[in-house]
Amino acid sequence: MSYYPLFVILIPLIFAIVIYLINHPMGRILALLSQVFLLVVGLSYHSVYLPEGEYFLSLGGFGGKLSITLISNPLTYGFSLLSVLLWFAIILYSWPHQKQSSSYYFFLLFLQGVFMGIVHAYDFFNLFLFIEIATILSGILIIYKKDGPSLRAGIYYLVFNTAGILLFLIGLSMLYRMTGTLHMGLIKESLVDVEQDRSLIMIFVLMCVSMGVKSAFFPVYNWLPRAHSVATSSISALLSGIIVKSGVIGLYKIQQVFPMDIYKDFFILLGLITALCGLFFGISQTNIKRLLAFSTISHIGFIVMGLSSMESIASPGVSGALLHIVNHGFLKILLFLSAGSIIRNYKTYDLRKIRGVLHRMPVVGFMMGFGILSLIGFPILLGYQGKALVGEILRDQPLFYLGYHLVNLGTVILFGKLSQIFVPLGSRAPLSISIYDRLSLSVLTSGIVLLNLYQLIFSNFGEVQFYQGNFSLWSWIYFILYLLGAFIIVKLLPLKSPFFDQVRSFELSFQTANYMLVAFLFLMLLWSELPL
Amino acid sequence: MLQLALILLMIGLGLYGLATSRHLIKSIIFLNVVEASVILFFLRLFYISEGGVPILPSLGAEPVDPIPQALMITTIVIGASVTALALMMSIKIYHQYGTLDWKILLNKEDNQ
Repeated sequence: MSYYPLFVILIPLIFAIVIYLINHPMGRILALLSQVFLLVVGLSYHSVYLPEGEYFLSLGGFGGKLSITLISNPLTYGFSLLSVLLWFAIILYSWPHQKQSSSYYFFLLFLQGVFMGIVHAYDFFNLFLFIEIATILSGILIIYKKDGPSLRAGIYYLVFNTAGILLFLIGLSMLYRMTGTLHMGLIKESLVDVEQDRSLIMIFVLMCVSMGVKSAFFPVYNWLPRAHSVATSSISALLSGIIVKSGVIGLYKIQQVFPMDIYKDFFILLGLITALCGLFFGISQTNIKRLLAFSTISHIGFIVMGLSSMESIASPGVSGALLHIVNHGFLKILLFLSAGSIIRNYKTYDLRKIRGVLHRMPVVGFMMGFGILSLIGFPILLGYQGKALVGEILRDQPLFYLGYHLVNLGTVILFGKLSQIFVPLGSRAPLSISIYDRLSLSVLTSGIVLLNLYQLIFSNFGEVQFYQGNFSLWSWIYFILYLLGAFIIVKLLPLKSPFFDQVRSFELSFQTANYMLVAFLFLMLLWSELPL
Repeated sequence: MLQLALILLMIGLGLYGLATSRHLIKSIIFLNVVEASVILFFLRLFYISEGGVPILPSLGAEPVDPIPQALMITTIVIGASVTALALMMSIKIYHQYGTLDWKILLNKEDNQ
């Protein structure tokens, strides 16, 4: 038995409460210290989890069947170590802006503890509980600026996500009725011989739909660009890089417990449509943060495609999805933080008014360029690893494989549009960037480089397999083809036409979003009746 | 069975209300309707007529399962905090925009 999961959940919570109670500018030093402390505790456990080791921690003393259960294995260990780096960078980034506000650090650290809870949870009720607390906390962090747009986005996010997560509770009650336990491992055992009948499908659908709301799948995505584009940059980075993944992690846990083979194609299709939809709306955006938020939706699509195989962790699809959860988290946080720095210096959100970043802010510009290059799938860089693995499972199905290439092409176009901020036009006078921005971006970039080297040198981490074909000729040929295709399409695409103006201002109202939620539920139920 | 059907109807009603009401406070009320009916659904699934107290199994009657009740009390707490936060946000929104109508609210231009 290992108490590590308890430590990673409780240490941020305790530090958060202490920071809130002392209510002093010193609090932010404590916030940084908490991350150092977490890192030290984490590193002291490396021999327990590496190279392999899986432990279950049952709290409450009722035995495994009824108590709160936490799982810890190399995967969760890796997640908790990497999260320390991300939170460290974000605390460093918000250092000069949140001098007096101890409540900011309170919510930030509390969110870290809760996210660690989501990663480690091994019974369904606590998964629900942690996800719901994370929703409340992110709602508070979204409205932290207390201006009109953020309040509007915050209430949309809170009410819609809570409505979505209640469906999970209905599924949970039926599952508990069927198996008599909430422990994921025991449920998995008891469902091995059970026939996949209607009630099990109903449970699966209810749970998946609520996780879909949390992680912004296609018909229920509309809260994400709203919420992630209006919050403070550091919060946007956190939400878009990590917290949105809580839904995907929940989906992964559900699929590991009861894999439904009839939904394999559904999830590939759902992932493809989600990715294409994110790209389609993203390409028409002119607000830099909205563009990045829509790109998050497209990457969630990638992850769902990878998870669709519903096999063990070692299979390429699931490995790729888990890798992409981490890799996209790092890269998206880097992009959001550098975008925040650019917005603060140029005092505009409009892509078309930002020019010459590479000349005026060389450090930030260089790091952002590196992040973009990585995220569009430059072979051997970080963003490519997960994508390539996901691509491998789609190779047998020509139609889906074509869609996969289309998504890659779209990603290149989307970030090609973002790259227009590097064009040297107008003033070239260097802008002053605060030392904290540089420090935090350097921490992130060095983390990304190290992670990249690790994934190139080693072949696996725990059960997660890394991509092996980095140096094959085909990856380079495909990449060059994407670039050429993107170049041709951008030349042909009438980006200034009124059609794109309409796409840009297209928003689902709150009522329509709720209709979409119900429609998504029925669509998924209908899929099981299709004769496939 | 009739009770279960009624509870499911209530869930449907709550979702319908969420999808149709234009007033923000009404949306929050309907969210609470959905939540209350989900809690009722959970408790109804594990209801035993004339069940015994779970802490004193010696009293003879078949004891009820205490887990659903423990889970639902947690859900009620979570629901109360969501409601409180949402109502706080709507007060702030009313101060900012002077309206609680979703349609007007989301279409208002802001000078970002």
